[in-house]
Amino acid sequence: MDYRRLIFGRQRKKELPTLDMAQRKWLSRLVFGGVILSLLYRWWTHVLLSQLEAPVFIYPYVDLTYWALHLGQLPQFISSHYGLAIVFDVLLFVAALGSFFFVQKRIFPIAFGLLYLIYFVSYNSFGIHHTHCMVGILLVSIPFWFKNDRTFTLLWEGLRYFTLWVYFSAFLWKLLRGSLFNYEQGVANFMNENATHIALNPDGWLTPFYTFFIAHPSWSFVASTVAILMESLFVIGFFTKKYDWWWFVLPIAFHTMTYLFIHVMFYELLILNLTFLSFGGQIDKETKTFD
Amino acid sequence: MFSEKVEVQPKQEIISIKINGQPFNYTQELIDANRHIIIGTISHYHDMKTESDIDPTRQFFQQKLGGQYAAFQPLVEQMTNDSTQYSAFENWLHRYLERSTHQDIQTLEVDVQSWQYAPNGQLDLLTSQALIRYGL
Repeated sequence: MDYRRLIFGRQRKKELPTLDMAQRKWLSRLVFGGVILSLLYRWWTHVLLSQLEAPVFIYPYVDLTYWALHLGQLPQFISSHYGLAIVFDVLLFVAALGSFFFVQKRIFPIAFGLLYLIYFVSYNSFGIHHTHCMVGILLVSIPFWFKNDRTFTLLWEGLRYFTLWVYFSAFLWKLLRGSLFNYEQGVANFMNENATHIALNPDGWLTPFYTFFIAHPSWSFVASTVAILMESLFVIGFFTKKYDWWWFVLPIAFHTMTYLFIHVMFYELLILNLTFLSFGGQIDKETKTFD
Repeated sequence: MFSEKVEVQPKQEIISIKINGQPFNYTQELIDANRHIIIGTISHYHDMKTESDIDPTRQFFQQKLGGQYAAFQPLVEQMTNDSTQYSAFENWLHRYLERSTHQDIQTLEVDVQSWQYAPNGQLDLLTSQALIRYGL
């Protein structure tokens, strides 16, 4: 059976823009440059496996990947052996640096992807909360595992759609669960997420800003609704690449707002913004086809 | 992110930490990824303490599996925390806070405080309950 015909149907002859090796090199440098910055941030904040002092609690919760790794005792085993944890952290950096400097050696991004999966699960489990901000770093190396330019391009494009889905699905969840129409949503989030900051920093420079929004629920509702509607805009990206620069810039503004308003630090997710770069339109001018 | 429908909760629980007798403002002293580990684990420790040392995840499996829980118990115990982890937590927290704050910690006090929002958006302290006393 011709699966391509089955999947793409009558559009089988449609052009598939393909990124070439030179473009892959640029992307690899950008992606793994961002990855190295993320790892340095994690080293600086004492959260690499060798820095966690052999944490005692784990939290796999309801996630099959976490169950598999914890049943195999892998996160616990690495973190409880200091020497092994140091080797693990060094390998993580080496894999990221190798991916940055030796773009054509696919062993580095493959090694990085597998090592980061272990780190991702370990950090989230030891921190007793499955954060979403590291998902971009987790997935962004996968296209670089493959030699074929077309496979790379398809996966890179897939990552672009995934990024759009991350934001648009956040809107859909709020729409379907009714929180978009909940008048208390904004003020309740402000109260829950800023309580620690207000209690510990009653004279902080941002505290009057938070107390204003808490004392004025209608303004909180407006701020919350604007943020949710910003997420809804990403649906446009499914139909056209014309506004991809907007999807590059909008998440930066969005996550800066969430960081200032409710202390949610999602800057590591911004690595996925690179999927919206178009290389000055070169990708759209490529003329390779499936046949 | 934040898609769950929430209602206004005027009362808020906050973790308060004192290191060597001095208040420790972890919102300023610790960077987000670091703070996530410390506050997340303390909150989990608090949850376990209020549930008589039983991991809430283990309770989740007990509820979901019902009568079949016994068959899966060894696997569930490998993926959840019990009294072994619970009793080792305070020593770990002490070690990790020393690394995170770059200082020797002789005494460590962790309280769970209850605060109430006033109409002007400010918080008033209602109660403070001791959770951890280390080196005192």
